[in-house]
Amino acid sequence: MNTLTPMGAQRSFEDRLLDELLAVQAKMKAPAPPRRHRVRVFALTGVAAAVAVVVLLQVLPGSVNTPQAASAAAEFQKLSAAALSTPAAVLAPGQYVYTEEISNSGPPSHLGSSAYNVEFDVKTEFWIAANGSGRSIFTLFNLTFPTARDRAAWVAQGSPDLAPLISRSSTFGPGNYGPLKVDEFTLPTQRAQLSKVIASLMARRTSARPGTGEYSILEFGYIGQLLHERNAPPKVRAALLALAGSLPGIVLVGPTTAPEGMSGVGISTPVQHGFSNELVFDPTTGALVAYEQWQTDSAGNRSLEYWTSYLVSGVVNNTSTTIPVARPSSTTTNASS
Amino acid sequence: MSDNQQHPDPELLTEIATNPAALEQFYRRHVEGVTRFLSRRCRTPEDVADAVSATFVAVLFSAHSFDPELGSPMAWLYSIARNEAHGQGRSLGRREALRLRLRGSTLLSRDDADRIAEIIDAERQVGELDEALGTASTGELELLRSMAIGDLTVTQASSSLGISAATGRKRLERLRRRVTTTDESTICPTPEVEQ
Repeated sequence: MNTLTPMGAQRSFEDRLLDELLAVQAKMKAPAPPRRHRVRVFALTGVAAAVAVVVLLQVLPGSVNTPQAASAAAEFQKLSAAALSTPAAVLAPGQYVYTEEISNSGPPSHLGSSAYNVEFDVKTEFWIAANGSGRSIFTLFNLTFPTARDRAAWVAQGSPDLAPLISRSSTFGPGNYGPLKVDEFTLPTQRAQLSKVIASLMARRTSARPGTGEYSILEFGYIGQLLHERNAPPKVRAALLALAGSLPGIVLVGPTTAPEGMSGVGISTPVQHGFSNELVFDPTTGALVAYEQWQTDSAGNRSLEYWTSYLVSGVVNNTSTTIPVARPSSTTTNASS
Repeated sequence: MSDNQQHPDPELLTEIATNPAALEQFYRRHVEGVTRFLSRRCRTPEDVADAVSATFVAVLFSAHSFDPELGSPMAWLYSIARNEAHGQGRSLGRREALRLRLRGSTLLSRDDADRIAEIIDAERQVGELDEALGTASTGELELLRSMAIGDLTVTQASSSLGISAATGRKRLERLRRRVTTTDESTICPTPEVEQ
């Protein structure tokens, strides 16, 4: 029985939201067509051009993202050891850990209630104090229209500024940073205890059963979210990496380059419901440098749907100071294979 | 699955990611309750709308993990809603909603915002009343019941209970004071201060 109270002749928020959810569901069902490599060239000259060629070669089909025989568990052990060897970040009063990341918007789709499709990227900046409070800024950029028709529809609607729909600046209190509301600085470093903490976090969000493949995939994702805080104590990061290495079914992808030129070693979940999640780590520090969600269609073609590249992280003296990003190349790729 | 036939929630959740009819039936069955639930935890209609949309996005993305042996669909749904009320833009629903460019607040008309503002007010009052009634004495509850069920004035209800009108008014006044001094703190979006 439809329990939704009629809200009058005009379509209500609830009806419009249902339309949006049905559109999301349709996108979840339909496998994305293989996408061409999208390369944004800002200034390619000399050595930079050569670096870009190397990056492109790395994202071409067959060269990377192919499961290797080597063990993901062994790679995680190496990453864990690398994390332990990195110096710990120390926050003095008034100091913050600054992190900057860039995510894509996924396949083209409409923004809010607009009738045209757009693509864009979002830059996210966090400043986190020692007590877990801080500031965040989301900034929409690289807005593009997939087709001339989309652009024409936008112009016909008065060329509205779309940035405010996504861009925002917020502050948050202690214990409210991150997807899991966890202070990564205080996580236990003993594997059993750490596993217990993560299990309790997962129990609030999922009913997947421990010991199942699905649970391991979810746990991999949770560990990845916790590793997002790259300035967490080395012992904590090392313990998280070691724990990830104990999960069954995880696959070593090998050397790979994520969007924004973030290169590292990739480790992935198996494909489930057509999707797999891959984490890319800096092998020298064990730091997480990128997250990627791949979609695999029935023919086995993979396309990169969503990605986040973690560009920089470090200690600053206030919530206005940022850290310049030294990109390894001037090329942004959005790969498919 | 027939569009017209009603199906239990566990069945709907198994198909919600792929079947539009399942999504619509589950959504329409629960959106009003979820909106009221979040209205008790959010300060503004825009916050409520964002939390409602994030909740159902999270349902879509995590329905496959629902296990009926570990709890009811309602408990599962409202635990998601609670998480989204606490969400800091990085919870599952909000993160996916951001990626999908789905912000409930952008779907609000002025009428919607006014209506949800009324729900927020009403839910806050209900919460205050619940809390106050939880501390009410037997005499106070008897008086209130007589007034509500019998549609009586304080004097009439007092008389029916064999107490003086003055005593009845005192009981009612004590109850009113507790109701008006109860302050239910909001949750969403406490951690965020829009700038």
